[in-house]
Amino acid sequence: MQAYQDMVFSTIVRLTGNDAQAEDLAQEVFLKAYENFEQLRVSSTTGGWLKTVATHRTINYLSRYRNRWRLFCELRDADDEDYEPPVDVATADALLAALDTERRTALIEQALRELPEAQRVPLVLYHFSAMPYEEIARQLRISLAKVKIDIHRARIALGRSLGRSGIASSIE
Amino acid sequence: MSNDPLERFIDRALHDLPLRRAPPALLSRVLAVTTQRATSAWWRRTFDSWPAAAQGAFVVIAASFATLAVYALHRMPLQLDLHRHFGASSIGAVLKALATLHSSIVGSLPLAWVYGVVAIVAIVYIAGLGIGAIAYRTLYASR
Repeated sequence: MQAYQDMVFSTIVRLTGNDAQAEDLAQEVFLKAYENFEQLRVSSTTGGWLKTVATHRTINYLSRYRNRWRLFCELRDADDEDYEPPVDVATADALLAALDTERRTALIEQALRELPEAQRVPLVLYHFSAMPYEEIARQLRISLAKVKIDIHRARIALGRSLGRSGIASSIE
Repeated sequence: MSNDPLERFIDRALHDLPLRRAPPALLSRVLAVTTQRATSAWWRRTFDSWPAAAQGAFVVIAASFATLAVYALHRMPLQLDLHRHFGASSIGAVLKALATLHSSIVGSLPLAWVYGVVAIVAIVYIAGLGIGAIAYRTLYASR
């Protein structure tokens, strides 16, 4: 368990954005693993199994309790055409690269946590779990178009947030 | 991966992140629960972790009791000797009237009606529970 606990916790906390919920869900995942101990003991894919179970448990948890959030997101997106100014990627990239690893990690984790859940979850599934758009849509039970829009908006929000943080950090 | 510079930037930034360290209490919490599960009797654990034979026996016994209860409700006449218990008092008279009413209703009801009423009560109960849970989570818990 010690070998995998950081991976399981990271997978969950990046989806939920909440440490306490992530700890509870990680506990459930390891208890599930305990129930399947005989199979996992001789398996070479224990890490993959744990990551899959952690991801699915977290998605189930989020979708069970946050349907209202999803409903309002769908309604808002139907005619939402807010102007989104482009992100200066080169500047944000250069500013982040200039920071030390610890500071950069803290900034990115913070920016991820601040994203709305509707954007953070598909973004994390796409970039961390390498899940294709279609699979994300199926897992979250939302349309493919909405997945693409949410991920696109999440990237813009994250890029902008990192750019601002990088500028703030470079001034400090 | 597309050629979108923003997508590439975000992908690189996220992939470079090290794993978050799990809270120190996680290991001890999991060990405490697994130890407690391992030492507790099988009948004190959740139903899905019972031995298969015990699960099967439980289902059979529960189904038998339910069948017996429905059969008894439909067939068994009310055999209480109300006159002996309550004499000729007004309470006795009321109970006797109720008993007669119960016997005549149960005796004349088709079995399908009984099942229908049980099913409707169950559906209304589940619907009420569901609406209550949704209302609680929507209006109160998610605030």
